[in-house]
Parts: sequence; structure tokens; C-alpha cells
Amino acid sequence: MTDDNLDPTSLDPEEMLDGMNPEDLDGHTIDELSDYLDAGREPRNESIENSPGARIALDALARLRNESWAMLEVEALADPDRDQSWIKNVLTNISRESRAGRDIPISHPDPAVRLNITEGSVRGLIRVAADGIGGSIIGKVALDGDVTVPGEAISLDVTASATYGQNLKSLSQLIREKIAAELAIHTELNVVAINVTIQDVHPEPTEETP
Amino acid sequence: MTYDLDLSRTLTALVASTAGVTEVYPSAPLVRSVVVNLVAAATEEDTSDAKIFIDRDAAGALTVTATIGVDAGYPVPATLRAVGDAVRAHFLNHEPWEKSPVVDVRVSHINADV
Repeated sequence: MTDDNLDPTSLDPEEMLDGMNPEDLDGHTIDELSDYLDAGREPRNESIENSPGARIALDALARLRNESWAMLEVEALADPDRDQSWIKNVLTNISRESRAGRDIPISHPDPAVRLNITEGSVRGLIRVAADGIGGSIIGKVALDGDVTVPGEAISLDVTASATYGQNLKSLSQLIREKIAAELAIHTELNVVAINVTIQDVHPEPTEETP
Repeated sequence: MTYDLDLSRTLTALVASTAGVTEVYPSAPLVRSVVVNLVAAATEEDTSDAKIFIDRDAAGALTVTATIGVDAGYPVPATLRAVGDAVRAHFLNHEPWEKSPVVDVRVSHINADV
């Protein structure tokens, strides 16, 4: 198959983003954030830059473009008809998970000082940690358990897509270890389980990939 | 309002200067922000550097709310405690007439790209 066979519209980000309806990125949509990213975040949009949720989503979108767009292009070359809904699912999850969510307490000896980290920032942290491994893209992150209660047992459910040819068991273990290490540094969560599910395998990008 | 606005500006600068803090986000509830922005527009006063929310109840009890971003290279718990301690120390040292303010600090973004 040659590049001539690639249907350019099949990789149109606008098409991928079409129909998304994010509920709580401080009034911004993933589509709007994507355009802002395209423009190099210029001119500066104070409303976006002052929104933690929008910033988490921007970070995730930027990583997604760097890491997974090449994966997607290779896949389209190999099989243009394949359903590309997985990336739309990733974008939908980024939008949903960037919302602040629940407050996760951090201890302080003075009861008049109340410290919290938002669930959204923890989900963003998990994405950063796992995406940074390379060879995989995180699909969905969920914290299961009452994170608002100190010491409560929490489990994590993470889905990922991997590039073809990797030892998926080793990759899952690496993702698990990386997430556990970051959560130990940045939270006081009592994480009792990190469940990693590799949901999809994609062709590996090459230097010849357009 | 001017006193609290100045206090918010001072605390915003204090929090922003704490090691590990990458951003101080506006903390006021949306409706309050709209009102403040309308007043600021009418008076041509720039409130963009007053991001800490200062709230007083009917009895005058003070709650200070800060929403921050943290550099991923700095542990969030230590950074949060440093911000909380810095705000409390400010009141002890510079605003001793304020009675035991409650300090509420929330990390809403961990920045890995700093």
C-alpha cells in the first residue's frame, strides 16, 4: 500500500473531535482546545490558561499528538477502513477526566489548614506517568473507592493501547510501577490495586511514516 | 473590599513565590468572579493579580482559598504544606488582628512540562 491510498479525511482531527460535548472544561470544548494548541497557544487565551481543567486537557492533547498520531497514521496506511473510534474514545476520556472531580485530602497538623488535590489533577498525573513510558497510550483512568476519606483503600483501573510487538505483560507491569511511584510521591492515597488492561494493539510507527 | 483586594494581591504573590508552585488560579466562585470583574471594569481596576479568594462570614471569620498548579518535580504534599504554612505565617506576622483564618489550598494541576 502506498501513501496514495491514504484517505486524508480519515485522519482529520476535526472529524475526530466532531460531536464531542465536554461538560466541564470551564466552558471550553476539546475542539476549542485543539484549535488553541494548533495556534501555538497564541494569542494567549486567559480563560483557557486560567482553567486547571483546560490546562490538564491541553497537556494530554499535546502528548496525544506527539505519541499517538503517528500510531494512527500507520494504522490508516495499513487498514484505512479500520474503525478509528479508539482515539475518539481517548479524547472523550481526556475531556471527562480533566474535570476537577472529588477533593483528595492531604494531611496537615493544623486543622485550620485544609489541603486537597483534585481528582482531575491525579488522573492527569497518571496519564503523564503512563504516557511517558512510550509505546502505549492511556485510554481511560478511573479511581475506585472513596478518595475523600484519608486511608481508605483505593484501586485504579487503567486502560491502554500498545504498539505491536511488545511484551504486554511487561508493559502492563511497567505502567503499574510508574503510576504507583508517582502516586506515592504526590498523594497520600492508600492504593491497594492498579489494574491495567491493554485494550488495543496498533502497528509501530516507523521513520518512513508520513 | 479594597482591603481584601489588597490582601488577595499580597497572598497571590506570596503563594506564587512558594517553591514548586507554577500557577495560582482564580479561586473565587463563578458568580463572585463575575461581580468582581464588573466592579473592576467600572472602576478600571485591574484585579488579575488578585487570585486568592478572601471570604468573610457574618461573624467576620475569614477563609482564604488558593487554587494552584504544582511542578511535577516537587512533591504535592510538601508543596501544599509549604503554601499553607506561608499563608498562616503571613497572618501571624502581618495581619495579627485577623482571628485564626481557615486556609484552604487545592492543587488543581500538576505540571509535568515545566
